[in-house]
Order: sequence, then structure tokens, then C-alpha cells
Amino acid sequence: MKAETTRAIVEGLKDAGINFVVYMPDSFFFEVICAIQEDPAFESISVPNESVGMCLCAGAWLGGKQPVMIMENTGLFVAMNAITRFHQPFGIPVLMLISYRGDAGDGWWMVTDIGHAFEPTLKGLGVTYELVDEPERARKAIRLMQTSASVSEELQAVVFRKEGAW
Amino acid sequence: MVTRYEMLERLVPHIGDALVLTNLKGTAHEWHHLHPEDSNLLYLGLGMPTPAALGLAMALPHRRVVSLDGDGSILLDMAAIPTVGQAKPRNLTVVIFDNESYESNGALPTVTSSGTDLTGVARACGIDKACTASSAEEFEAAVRTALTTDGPHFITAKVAKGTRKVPITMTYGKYNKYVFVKHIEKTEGIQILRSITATGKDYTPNKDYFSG
Repeated sequence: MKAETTRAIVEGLKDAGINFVVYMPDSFFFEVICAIQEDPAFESISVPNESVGMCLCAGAWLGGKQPVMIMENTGLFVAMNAITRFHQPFGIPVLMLISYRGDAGDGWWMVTDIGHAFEPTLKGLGVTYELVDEPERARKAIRLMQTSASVSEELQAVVFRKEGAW
Repeated sequence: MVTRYEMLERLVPHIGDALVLTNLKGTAHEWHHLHPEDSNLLYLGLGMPTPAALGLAMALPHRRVVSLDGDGSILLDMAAIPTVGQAKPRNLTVVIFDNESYESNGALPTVTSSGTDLTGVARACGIDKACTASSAEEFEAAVRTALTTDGPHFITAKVAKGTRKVPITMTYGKYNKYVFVKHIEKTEGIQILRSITATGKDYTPNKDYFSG
């Protein structure tokens, strides 16, 4: 990822008041995660899967933190049990930053079907999301979606497309 | 063999102002009957109480947090255990009521019935203060220690199958959340529900929205 993009995402998280970062290691977000780990503005923790991560975010929110879950889109499917049995019935807002594997131009055959299923799944879940493909929009989208999450007490996602300044 | 209800009775005198997250069905009903307080968040689904309690414990490191979980639940997502072992929150106590079955839907056996040792798993994941309690006395001693010393603590409570018949006064999840969160806001002196700010006297229009 370009330094410009990493900086935009990290600054977007700060603009949004995010102070608790849970991440499932992901190649797309590698530089972002490294930057977050070194930044005292964030408390961060890695998790072995995205379901644990989403539950951890929920608990942190209940305790007054402003959490974000950083993951690849495959992780959405891992987290769906928690999303539909915990976040949604209890109304727990969590911002998700999701990399869009299987998007147009993704050269790995294994993620093609994830790409097909990803946006219909977000829509089916009723998760509001914004697709971004350039750094400055990423920074603004993170701030806006976090505001929406806080007020609606719903999940919101910023989805990072394959094509763009990555 | 001791029942879960008998162990929960032993927990009540020691719980203090701890925040308690519970598994669903029997554990939630029994705990809510014994300790009907605003500090309870009840009825979390399988695999969810312990990682949620970890997040809460990390957010409020000075406050005791207790997860009342079950064997079927933690087995659904054992990844929660090494995550606790990695974070090592001093204020977290995880209790796994292990009745070796999926009791709430017919009591078919879990893998703990064939030897899986959850305390051993916890120790192997770096949770040094892990123990197994098989009697009410052992359980009370374990929770007394857990709620007065640094953790994380992990207690596998071996219990008989069966749920005490108690009045079921469960509330809607979102209502439970608001009561729980307002309790934390009041006792911690913090603001969690941001929507109140957005619609109250402190509301300021979002310039990004209005500028299109």
C-alpha cells in the first residue's frame, strides 16, 4: 500500500475518534496495521478470527471505546454468526474496514466467488457501506461512517476496492 | 454432582460491582434470578460471551468483568481462549460451566464428555490462573480468589446437567443493552451512547453531510 493511502486511513481513524483497533492480519492492510501498532493514539489487538474480533469490538464499545474491526472481506462470512446474533439484535455499533478481495482486477482465482457474494451479503445483512478507491475519499468515508454507526447503533463498513491508489 | 445453580449461588456474595456477561438460556435465567442487576448483559450467543467480556475488560481495565460461559459455547469458538491469553487482562474472570452437553437443545454430548480439558487448553494458551472446580466449595474458593486478585482467571466449573426452574424474566436484547450501558455510564462517569449527543442540546450539524 502506498504511504499516502496508509496515512489517509490512519488519519481518518483519528478524525473519527477511533481509539480501539481489532484486526485480523491481512495483506491489504499490512502497512496500516503496522502504523497503528506504533501509534499511541490507538490500543490495538490482533485476533485469530473475525468473529472473535467483532465480539471483542462489541465489548469494547460497551465499555466506552470507539472500536474498529479491520479485515478482509472473507472475514465477514466468518463473523456473520456474531453479527446476526449479537451486534444486530443488541444494537452494537462497530465500524468495519474491509478489503474487497475478488473485486474486478483481483488476479487470484480463489477469491472470485467471495467477490460475487460479498456485496449481496452486506446488503442482505443490512450493513450500510461505502466503496472507496482513493485515499482522500477513504479518510472522509471513515469519519462519516463512524458518525453514522454511533448515531444509528448499527454496523457500518468502509470497503476498499482493488482498483485505486493501493 | 453440583448444579450450575448451586455454583451461581456461591458466586453472588463475591460479585460486587463486577460487570457480568452471560451465555444464553439456562445460565442467563438462573443468574438473572439470583442477581437481577443492571450490571448484567444476558443471553449472548454461542461463542460470544468470552470475547465480548475480553473487549469490555480491556476498555475498563480497573473494573472487574466476568464471563459466565458454557462448554458448548466456548467450543464453538475456542479462538477466544488464546486471545484472552494474549491480552492477559488482569480484571477478567472467565467461568465455563461444563455440563458436557448441549443441554439447551436436548443434551447431546459436547467433546468435553470425551476428555477435552478446557482448563488444560486455557493453561496451554497462556492463562496461568486456570483451574477446575468440581464442588460448590471449590467453586466459591476459585471465584473468591478470582475476584480479589489479578487475572486473567479461567475457571472450568464441572456441573451436572439440568436447569433450575426459575421465573423467566428475560428482556429484549436492545433494552438489556441500554440498561447495561446506562449502568456503566453512571458508575464510570463516561458517555457511551453518542446518539444522545447527536440529538440533544450538544448536537452540531455534520458539516460534511450538509456540504454534500
